[in-house]
Amino acid sequence: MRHKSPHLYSPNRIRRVVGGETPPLQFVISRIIIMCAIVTAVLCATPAWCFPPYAKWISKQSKMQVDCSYCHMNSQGPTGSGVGQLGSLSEEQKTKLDTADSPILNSFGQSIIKRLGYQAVVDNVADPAKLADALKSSDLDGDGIADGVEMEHGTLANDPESAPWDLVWKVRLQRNIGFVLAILVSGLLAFVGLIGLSKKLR
Amino acid sequence: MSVARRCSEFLVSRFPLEKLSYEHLANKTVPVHKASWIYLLGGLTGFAFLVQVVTGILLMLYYQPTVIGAYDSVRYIVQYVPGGSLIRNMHVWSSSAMVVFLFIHAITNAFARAYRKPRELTWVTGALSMFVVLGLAFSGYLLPWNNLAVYATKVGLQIAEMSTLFLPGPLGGIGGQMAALLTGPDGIGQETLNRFYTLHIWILPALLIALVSVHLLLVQIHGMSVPRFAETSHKQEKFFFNFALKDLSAWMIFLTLLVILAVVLPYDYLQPYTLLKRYSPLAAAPSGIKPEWYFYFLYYPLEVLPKVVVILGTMIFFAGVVAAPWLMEYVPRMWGKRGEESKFPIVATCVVALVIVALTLFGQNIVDVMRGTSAP
Repeated sequence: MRHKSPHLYSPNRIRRVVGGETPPLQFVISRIIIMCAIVTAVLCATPAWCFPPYAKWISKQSKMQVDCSYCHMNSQGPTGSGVGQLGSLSEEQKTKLDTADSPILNSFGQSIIKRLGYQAVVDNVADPAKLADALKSSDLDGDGIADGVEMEHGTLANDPESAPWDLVWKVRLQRNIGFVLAILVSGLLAFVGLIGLSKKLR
Repeated sequence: MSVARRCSEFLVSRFPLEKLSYEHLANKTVPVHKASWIYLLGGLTGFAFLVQVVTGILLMLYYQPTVIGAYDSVRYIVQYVPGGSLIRNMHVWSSSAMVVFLFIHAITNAFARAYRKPRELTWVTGALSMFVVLGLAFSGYLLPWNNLAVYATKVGLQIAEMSTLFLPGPLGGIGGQMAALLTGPDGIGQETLNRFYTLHIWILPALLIALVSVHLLLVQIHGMSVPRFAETSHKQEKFFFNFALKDLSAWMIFLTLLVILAVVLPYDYLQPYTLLKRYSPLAAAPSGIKPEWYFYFLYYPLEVLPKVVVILGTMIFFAGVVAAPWLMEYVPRMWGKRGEESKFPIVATCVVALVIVALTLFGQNIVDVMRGTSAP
């Protein structure tokens, strides 16, 4: 006959473990907390709104350090109870998780959902390059570098102060060409004038 | 002869009264030869500092030296203040330019043997100015209060703490006390920012202005040193205003290039965005923290050699730079040669220049490896 193991929290087992007649309340509460923590950790380990392959792909492509704040509000990703994380959301906010107003996403993450839809993000997890390609026609921060190109270079697509330097200088030169030419001409004139004056004084 | 008398004679010969007259200073001449361009480097270094002062004062109009407001105020300057991005980037790029000019100025003057009698004090004030410039760069690094700023400063303070550990007795604790004085009682925070800000905008600039004033006065009194190959040439030109106008022309070129660089390539584009995010004491430190490029010559050895060796070596090196006028004279005597005849000064200058340049380049490689942009 197969011996039936006692239930994990049967009164007899608890009495045996703690060695007393009645299980202390603290013991029971601590075990309940541990169970809750394990269940929460399992549930939150891979939430549906977390796509690490994208960050890994951007890091690999750009050879730059990239964290979850590339698309998310929080640099630690959506898991947890910090600002922009699932644990801190109200019931109303939770209803917007799959939408372009998702409270766990930053403006770039939201713009991806807005332009391509949540399903496109899910579908392209195995091939993030496709998502980047699809974003090469948009420039969220207006720095002159397409969002998809910024993804490839590991710079922020929602911050005009972050862009691949080897590309952005050309854009900035084109945008400020009048100013640059004026500075060049005035610098040149000042130089020629000073050298001429120096020769006259000699 | 008593020490006091020798000191007073030394000072009298370095600050001769007859050369302190207006006539002498106004009629100063500059040697003309193939390498006369080296005389522009000191002026360019000074001009880069002037740009720093002017742009720094403009930045002070908006910058908030508080741990809550510093990061946002820098972002505000760059994104919303008219011309703010230009001013900030001129400030940052000119700090790098100042270090480059200063380094080349020091090396070329070492080749020109500008440390010899009666220019010892000119050299010493210049060398001390170099340390103050590095201090200015270090203290300014913290002010944007982003990850890179705070973590790089933490590393710098740790190095300062370790810098005297090998000294005997109570001397061993000096580095720790210095680091504590800079940090404040509660770790890196508001008091640290206050202290670095005060150092950056008041104490170090005042010290630099004082040192540079003495340096310039000595340059005006003793004139420019001539490299060995140009000693036979006796061609001279007047400082006022022939050479001064050449100086101004060089400044114009530098200013033009600086403005264009500041417009076309803001300095922050060269850093990963994770390092430029607001510093949070609760968040994990991002990888890739590094000092500014002009500290790579210290940073790279610290990565691969025992810290005590590097710190002791650096202190000896810095002391050697300040004491170069006497070292270059007395070290050759150890093998029976006079400083004039010996090749030791040239060899030592070459070695120092090459080591610093090589370490700076290797330091960059280390950073690349940390970022994963090149194979180790």
